[in-house]
Amino acid sequence: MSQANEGAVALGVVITALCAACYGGVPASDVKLEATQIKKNVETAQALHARCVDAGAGVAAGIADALCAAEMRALADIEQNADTLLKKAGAADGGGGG
Amino acid sequence: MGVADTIEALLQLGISAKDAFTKAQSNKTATDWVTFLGSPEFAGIEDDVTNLVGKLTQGDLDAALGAVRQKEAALLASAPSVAQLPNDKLLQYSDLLHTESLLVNRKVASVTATAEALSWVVNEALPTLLTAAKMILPLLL
Repeated sequence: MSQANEGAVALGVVITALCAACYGGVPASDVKLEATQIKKNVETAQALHARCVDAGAGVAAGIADALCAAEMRALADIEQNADTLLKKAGAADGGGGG
Repeated sequence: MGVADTIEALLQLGISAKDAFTKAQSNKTATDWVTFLGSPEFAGIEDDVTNLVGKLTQGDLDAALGAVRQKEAALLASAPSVAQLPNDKLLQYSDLLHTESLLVNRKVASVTATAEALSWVVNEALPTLLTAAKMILPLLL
């Protein structure tokens, strides 16, 4: 997946989570906590992605692998942050989904 | 409880619960976390679980979250932005952020049911902490 696509997916996940949370009765403080976390994870994933792409240019293989693995983990965390809000929105909505 | 103790308690709880749950599935005495609570395998670890869960108050999790954020801020103080951190510091920051995400999810979810709590500890907290504990525990001590 290209960096642009990753960004678009991340943005879509954020918007979905925020809308679901808004309509699902999730407290604004929880939305803010997760949204802040998503923003930090997006920023970190971008920084890691840039290093991962540059990894061929002189970065030791072990470090490059660790950078790429960390990028994948940051992207997974973005999904998890959004999923937590969606689940909470579903629960607040009487289990009927966000 | 100190931050390192909180993380250690989460690790102990995760390992103990995962081991017993795997045995219960293998012995066909549990198919999911709810039925696991009625299994003899859970009965064998119930006292330990109660003891460890009792140690993990919301205040402890908040304190751990605060400590992780302090360490993140300290790392970021050495560079103008995340993108400009050197590789080793970026990896440390990434581990701290991964742990922070875990703790934030737990705080937002406010899970109180034991089956859900055990599922969270084994499926989310344990893999995260097994990956990040080696890196973050020395930073938090």
